[in-house]
Amino acid sequence: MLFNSYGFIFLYLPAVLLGFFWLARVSHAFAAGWLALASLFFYGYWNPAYVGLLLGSVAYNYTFGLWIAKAGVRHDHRRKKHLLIVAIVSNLLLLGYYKYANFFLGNINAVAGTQLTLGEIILPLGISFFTFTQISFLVDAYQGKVKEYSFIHYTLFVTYFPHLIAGPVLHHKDMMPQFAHASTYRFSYENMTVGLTIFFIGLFKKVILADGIAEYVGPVFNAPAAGVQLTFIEAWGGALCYTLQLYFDFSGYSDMAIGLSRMFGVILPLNFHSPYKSVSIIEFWQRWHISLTKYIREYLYTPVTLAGTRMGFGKPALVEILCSLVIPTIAIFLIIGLWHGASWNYVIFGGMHGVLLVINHLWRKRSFWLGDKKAPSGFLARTLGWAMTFASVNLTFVIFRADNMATATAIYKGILGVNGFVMPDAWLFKWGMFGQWLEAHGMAFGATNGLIGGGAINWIWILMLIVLLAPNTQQIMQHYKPALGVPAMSATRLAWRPTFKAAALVWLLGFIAVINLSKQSAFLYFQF
Amino acid sequence: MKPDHKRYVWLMAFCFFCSIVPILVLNLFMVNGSLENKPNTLLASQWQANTQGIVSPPSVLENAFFKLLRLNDRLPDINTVVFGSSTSYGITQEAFPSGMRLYNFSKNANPLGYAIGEAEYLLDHSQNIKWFVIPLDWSIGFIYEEGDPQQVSAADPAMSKTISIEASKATWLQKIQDSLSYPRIAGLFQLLKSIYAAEQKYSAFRQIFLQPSSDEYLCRDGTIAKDFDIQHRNTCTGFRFDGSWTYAGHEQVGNARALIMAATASNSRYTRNLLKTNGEPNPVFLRHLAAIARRAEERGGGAIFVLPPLLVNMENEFLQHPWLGVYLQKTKQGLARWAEQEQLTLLDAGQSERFGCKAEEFIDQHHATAACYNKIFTGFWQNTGEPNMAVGNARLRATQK
Repeated sequence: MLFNSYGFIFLYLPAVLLGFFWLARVSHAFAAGWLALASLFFYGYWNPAYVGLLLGSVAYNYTFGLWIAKAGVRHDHRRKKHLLIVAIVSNLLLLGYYKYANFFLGNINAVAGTQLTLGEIILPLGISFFTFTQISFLVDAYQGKVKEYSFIHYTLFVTYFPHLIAGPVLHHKDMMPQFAHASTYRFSYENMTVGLTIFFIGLFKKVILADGIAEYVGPVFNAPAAGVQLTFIEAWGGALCYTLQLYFDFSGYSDMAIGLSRMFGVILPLNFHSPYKSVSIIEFWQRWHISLTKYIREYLYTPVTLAGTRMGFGKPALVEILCSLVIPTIAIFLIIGLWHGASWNYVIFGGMHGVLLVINHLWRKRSFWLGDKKAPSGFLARTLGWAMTFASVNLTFVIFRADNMATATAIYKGILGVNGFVMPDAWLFKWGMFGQWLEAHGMAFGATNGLIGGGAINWIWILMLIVLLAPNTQQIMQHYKPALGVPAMSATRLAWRPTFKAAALVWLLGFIAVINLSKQSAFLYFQF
Repeated sequence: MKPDHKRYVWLMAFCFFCSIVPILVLNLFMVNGSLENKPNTLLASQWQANTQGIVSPPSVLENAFFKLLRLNDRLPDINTVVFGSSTSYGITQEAFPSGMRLYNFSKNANPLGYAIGEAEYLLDHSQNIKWFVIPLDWSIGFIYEEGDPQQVSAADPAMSKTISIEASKATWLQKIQDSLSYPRIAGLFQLLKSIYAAEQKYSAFRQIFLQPSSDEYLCRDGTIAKDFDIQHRNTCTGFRFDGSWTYAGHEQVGNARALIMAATASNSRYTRNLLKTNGEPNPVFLRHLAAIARRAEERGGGAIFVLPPLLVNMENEFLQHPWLGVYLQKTKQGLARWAEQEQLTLLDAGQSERFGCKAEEFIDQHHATAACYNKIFTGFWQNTGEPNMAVGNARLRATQK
């Protein structure tokens, strides 16, 4: 079931809300159970067969979590460690089978010339999210950080429908206390207004902005496979359209997830915080898919980097940098790339970001290495930093979106102007005198493939203005704690209050989105 | 002042209720009339059979079922069928000699592969159909489509009890989705505006929302009309008894130059269609078409293949284009060569200005009205001579040469 569908908005959501708050008057456990069941229905609506897999995974990890905790209480560290290893390995095997088995077999076949196959394996939706969520639970149980072991709350924590399919990656310490808190089960008009507002902002972003610009993405990314050589404008236009589509799709989804959860009185962690305003690639990863970055940092990056630092300690500077920064960063980002999907494109995407992060970290450390006194931080430096960061992200998203390396290469060629800098001939007519002036001054207008027209250009500049100048949802909702972990930010005149004007505006956004729902499409992040 | 969240929630709920519910209810009333609704389509067909008037069927866009009903109703009286898509809507009985009694069986978005299948079906099942008028559209890309022609049944759907009583297949969820979609809502506001502007407002409201069709009314030329569709109520827009479309409620082309510029731009659908196969028509289609002509000649008739008229000077503009012109020449020369080799009748009306058509006789770049088609066929018959019904196509072809 999609958040941006009539069935979800007009049937599922009202029914689940009514059931939840009605049952909460009888028993909090009933209400939590109802929400868990509703979440399983939400999941099963896509493919009922995988509800069993999800439930099995929940029961398995809950049991192992309990055993690990009991072993901890008995100070049986050896057993605790064994249990943790078995549980994590089995989770990774499950994920590996569904998500990566055919990818690895395909590579083995390509290298060894074998014909190994497991047949078609349908990837269960959200398997990366619920696997990672539960691994963190197991690790925390091992470290003695888990305080609550209610099975209903645990099931709800894993299956909770606002996050189940496309995140954020939840941490039990954020969620379990909220499920246990009595105030969660009391209907609150404030939660409802805040939730509705955030949900409709997200719905508008997804249905109108992301889906609006999406129509220009496919033709450009499909063109190389049809033998079309992309012009400079087309390649840049296609790449920018996808970068913006992904932004509004992910941002819209994150808002909807946060808004939906808020209606139930549960505050989700922040997952998306204006990443395209970042002035460095390090900052970008602090703002993009925040819950995943935090997860990776806490459970993978920090331990690996610490180990690397220990290994490199006292060695020559270059070895130290390699051990403490270069190798861990690139390795972790290769894994992040692979997390997005079983394809070399994603691996390369991760590798590119790993390299960019290493460069960024080295740049920051240059004062130490080169004796610089102070990093430039003026407007010009920030603008340059932003431009470089945005261009880098935009370029890496080409390989993220391309179906294969050949397509990505063809688009990169267009971006570099290998196929020429011709402007579409239609623009010469549209631009009138200005077009003629440009032509007279050497600008070439001619036949292009027609993949990026004036419509796409308008979408790009309008959405760029929104990305760069408009306050994000957290800023708009800053008086009402929209999400967990929202950094301190400056006040905005557009801060939301439950006024008549705000209600009318949000209704308008929601209405426009609702009447455009018939063009429903799957969220991009569902595939990950 | 304490923020009033309760008021906000109820205000939002009220706004949604007041905006969504009336739209949903009003559009649901109309959805039945504009999704392909078979019972109402039967009513529309029966009404035209009885009155020979102008009718717009329940779904103007999905009119295949209506056309099939009408074709089967007309089959005993006719000997000529016009196939194809909406580009052929302007072909009327007036454009043909009285001996050729036609039904314009063209349907919205009907590809050439499908039209070939329909012609082959009629050759197999209807002995009295002797003349086959088949458009070869390059501008909308049908001539370039890949694959084999479809196998089609043009059997009378009214004879099948299951079809004749079948209600619309759309589910309630589909209807609700359709009712809340942007195009529907935009259409609803247009209708509400027209009701507001109508002299008899209740009557206008009743005809649109409470009845499956409008009341009967008279067009300027005295023809009776009835609208089962809701898009162009009371404008005499619809199918004539001969199957042609009146285009009465459509706006004529205003700025032809702008349309031509848009058409020849590299991102236009016309350009993209030419690029599909770089101007190479589907040879399988051509083989089937030649076979259709042979079989039609054997029964004393023939086939007339028409390259439909395009907005004045538009094709010329394409032909002068440095590389699109090459592709279009390839199409036109290829078809001419094919017609020559197979001794077929090919009427190339692409450059409509050569036949005296005017920009205002078009609705857009490739939809010509009856006025233009009549000029084209008048010229055609003057060149070829009207077919002698006794000797059939042999004379037509000889005159064409």
